[in-house]
Amino acid sequence: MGDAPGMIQNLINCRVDNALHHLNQAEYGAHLMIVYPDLDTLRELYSNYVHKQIKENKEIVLINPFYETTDSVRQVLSEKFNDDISNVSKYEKEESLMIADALEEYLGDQPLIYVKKGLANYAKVGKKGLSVLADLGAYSHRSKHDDLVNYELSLPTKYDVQMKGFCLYHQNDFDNLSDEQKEKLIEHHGKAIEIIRRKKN
Amino acid sequence: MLSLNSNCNEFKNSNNKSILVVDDEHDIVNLIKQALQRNGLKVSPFTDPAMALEDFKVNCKTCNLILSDIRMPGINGYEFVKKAKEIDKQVKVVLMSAFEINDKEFRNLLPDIKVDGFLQKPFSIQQLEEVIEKINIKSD
Repeated sequence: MGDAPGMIQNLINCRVDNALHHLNQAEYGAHLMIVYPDLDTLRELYSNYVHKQIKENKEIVLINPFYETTDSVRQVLSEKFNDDISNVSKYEKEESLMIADALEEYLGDQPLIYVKKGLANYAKVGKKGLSVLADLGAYSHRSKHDDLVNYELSLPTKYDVQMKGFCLYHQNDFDNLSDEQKEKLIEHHGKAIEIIRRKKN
Repeated sequence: MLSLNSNCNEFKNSNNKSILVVDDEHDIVNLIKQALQRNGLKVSPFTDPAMALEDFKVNCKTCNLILSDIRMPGINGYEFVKKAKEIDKQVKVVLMSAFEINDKEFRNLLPDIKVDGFLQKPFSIQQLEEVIEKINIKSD
């Protein structure tokens, strides 16, 4: 798919369409990390992924944004689905889509509440499993770099439940980590992808 | 919607003073820039806080107001303000956010630093004007 070797060993450098291919190919149990260059690229990635998973693959998708609001995610998805916001809300009501702020989900009073809910409910609502797209910028925002690494290392490299976990890192947050922290994160994930910034015309 | 009223003339006429705007959302930076420039104000727009800080190091003498988002990758708004105030403690600061501002977080991260205003997104140009007008931007 045109991947180029990364600066850091085991980090796959690719364009957003190739990154999307990696996500679409991921099987249940996958735990991937994705470093994205900017919000527009992230929006392109998650809107395409969510559209495909919800419309075709019949699974629950949880999005935990950090650098945009949950309403902004709804707006992006409604544009992608060619629907109005109420139709995105419909997917939320039938629980095939969950959108929750990453700060609350990872550093709030009830950590991972939506992940737990998704895992408890996917079979009940007739879905095959759960995909989680989680922006871990909340840790960087609070300067909790060690906590971030510890949290990631506490998760398995491959989940033994019907879940695909995609950990999202903004490039500027990732660059603030030490080389040792970067290496630990990359090595711990099943696959680590760095999306190349699209050239502006 | 996009006109600064006469109270802003003092700011407009304050001799090459400019406003530094930093937000990781390109569209928001552009909207603020256009609204302020339409009223004769000089704006330095940035989507990357690290670049904004580099610019501020060089141009702090001509900048007397910073409009900064809070949730930004790389350097968040609190850190940005802290670093900017280390360079020029007189610079006025307005923080913007689409999220509820966490008082505890704010007090912990900026305990001794004066912030001159807050803007809760989404905000209108009129609200932006009102916040700017409240700030005595002529004092150096």
